[in-house]
Amino acid sequence: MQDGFVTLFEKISTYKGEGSFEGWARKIFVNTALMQLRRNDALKFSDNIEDSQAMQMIQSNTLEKIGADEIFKLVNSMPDGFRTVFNLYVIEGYSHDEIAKMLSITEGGSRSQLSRARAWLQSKIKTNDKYD
Amino acid sequence: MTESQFDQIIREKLQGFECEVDDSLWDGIVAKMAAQRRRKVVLRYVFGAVAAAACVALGVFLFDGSDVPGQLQSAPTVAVAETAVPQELETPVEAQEVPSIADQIKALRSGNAVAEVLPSEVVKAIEAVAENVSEPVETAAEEVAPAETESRQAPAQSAGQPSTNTYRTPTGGQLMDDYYLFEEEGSSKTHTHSSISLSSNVSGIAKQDGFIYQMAPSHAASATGKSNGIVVEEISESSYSIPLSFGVQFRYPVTDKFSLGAGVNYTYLQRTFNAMMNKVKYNNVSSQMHYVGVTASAFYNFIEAGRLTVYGRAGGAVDKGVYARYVFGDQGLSQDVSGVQWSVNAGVGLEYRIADPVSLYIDPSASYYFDCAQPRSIRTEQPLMFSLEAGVRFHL
Repeated sequence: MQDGFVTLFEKISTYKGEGSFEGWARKIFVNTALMQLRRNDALKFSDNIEDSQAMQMIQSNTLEKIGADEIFKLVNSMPDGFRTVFNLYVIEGYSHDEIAKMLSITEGGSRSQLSRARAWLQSKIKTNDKYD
Repeated sequence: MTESQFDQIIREKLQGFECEVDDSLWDGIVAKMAAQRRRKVVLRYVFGAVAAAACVALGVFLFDGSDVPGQLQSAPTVAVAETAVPQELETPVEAQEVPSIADQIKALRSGNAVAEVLPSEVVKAIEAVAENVSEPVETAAEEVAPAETESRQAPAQSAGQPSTNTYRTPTGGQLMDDYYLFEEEGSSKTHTHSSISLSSNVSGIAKQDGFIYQMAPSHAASATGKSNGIVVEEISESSYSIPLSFGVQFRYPVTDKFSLGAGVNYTYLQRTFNAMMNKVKYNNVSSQMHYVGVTASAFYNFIEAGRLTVYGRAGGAVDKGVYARYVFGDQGLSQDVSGVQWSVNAGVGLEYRIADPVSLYIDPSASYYFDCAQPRSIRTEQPLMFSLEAGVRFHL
């Protein structure tokens, strides 16, 4: 986050008022985060999780009961690869095509990572009694 | 619950969610920005100093007054030597004595006919040189020639020459015109030169987000065609030294991709040749010219992919010769250069930003120098020049 703000302040003179400032700032933060992940070699998409197809979706009322801060913590505790694709798709609203280009992976790889991220998240919710 | 419903619930929950951040975050941002600013300044000075030192070192190393290596020159025979050299000089050049400039001046003074045919400003210039000459040129004195007497008397042979704007030597070759000290016998010279020139460039670019200045050694190779008569009645092929140029350029972005640039350049051109003056051969006559020019260019960024930018540029320049000097041994004559040198250029460039203030670039281009009746130089001999410039740009 610190690097994102530093980049934002450094590049603010290049914002030409085209499009919303929020969108522009959001893009800077996303790019900074991706750069940081790449620098740390964190964008490794592991296969060590059960196939999402085998995972049964949790009930919507279970998810509704969980607070935003808990969701935030859970998402933050995801493996880097899952979290990156999950955040980009679910939170930031990027398409799989865009994500594939940003992360230099295939579109299918992006879909696969997202499914696994969902499965990972649901498995954490299911295994935690306090969410029942 | 479907996947999209799952995503939607997560999205709605995190929409507008604000997490608490550590109080030290802002302090960290301030400290990091200050550190980066300091780093940029230091980097700028370090890169600037290194690039300047490299350019100067390169310029000094390459522009040491020596000529372009012989193998880079074509092997034309000097037709001039056959047509312009008088019969008296058929004796091997090495065996001839070259009188000192002082003797030359005396000979010129004693020949009224020559005085008539010389432009007054040239005579004055020569006299000024003569006053400073106390001893014969050492190198010239080593060469003993039986034609000395004849050469001293030679001016009298042209007594009957009409005094017009163009003057002829006793040999029939054109020697001087109103402007230049010498004029070659152009019809007899048709030879080709090949050469490589290397120049050090320092230029700056101001962009919307700051000022960029760049320093770069550039390498230019070109091939030439005919030689146009310019300055000297030459009896040898010219050897061209490496042009040296420095400049500053400002660039103003008109749109995201299109920008206009203007700048000022200084260029130093030198060539060396053997010349005939009053039937006397001088070896290693040096023509040194100093040009100051104004450039105007248009830039278009074709590709901007991350740190990489590919751009095209085209423009023109006009150079004014501010000083020209012809050096004979340890003596020299100076005179202004009239007119201007127009040229056009175009090229493509590849720029890669390696760090925020620093970019590496490579910029191949071609320049064409129009025939503007300028004194002979590598530009007049090789109107079309290709160059490959590589260097570092600093975004200030």
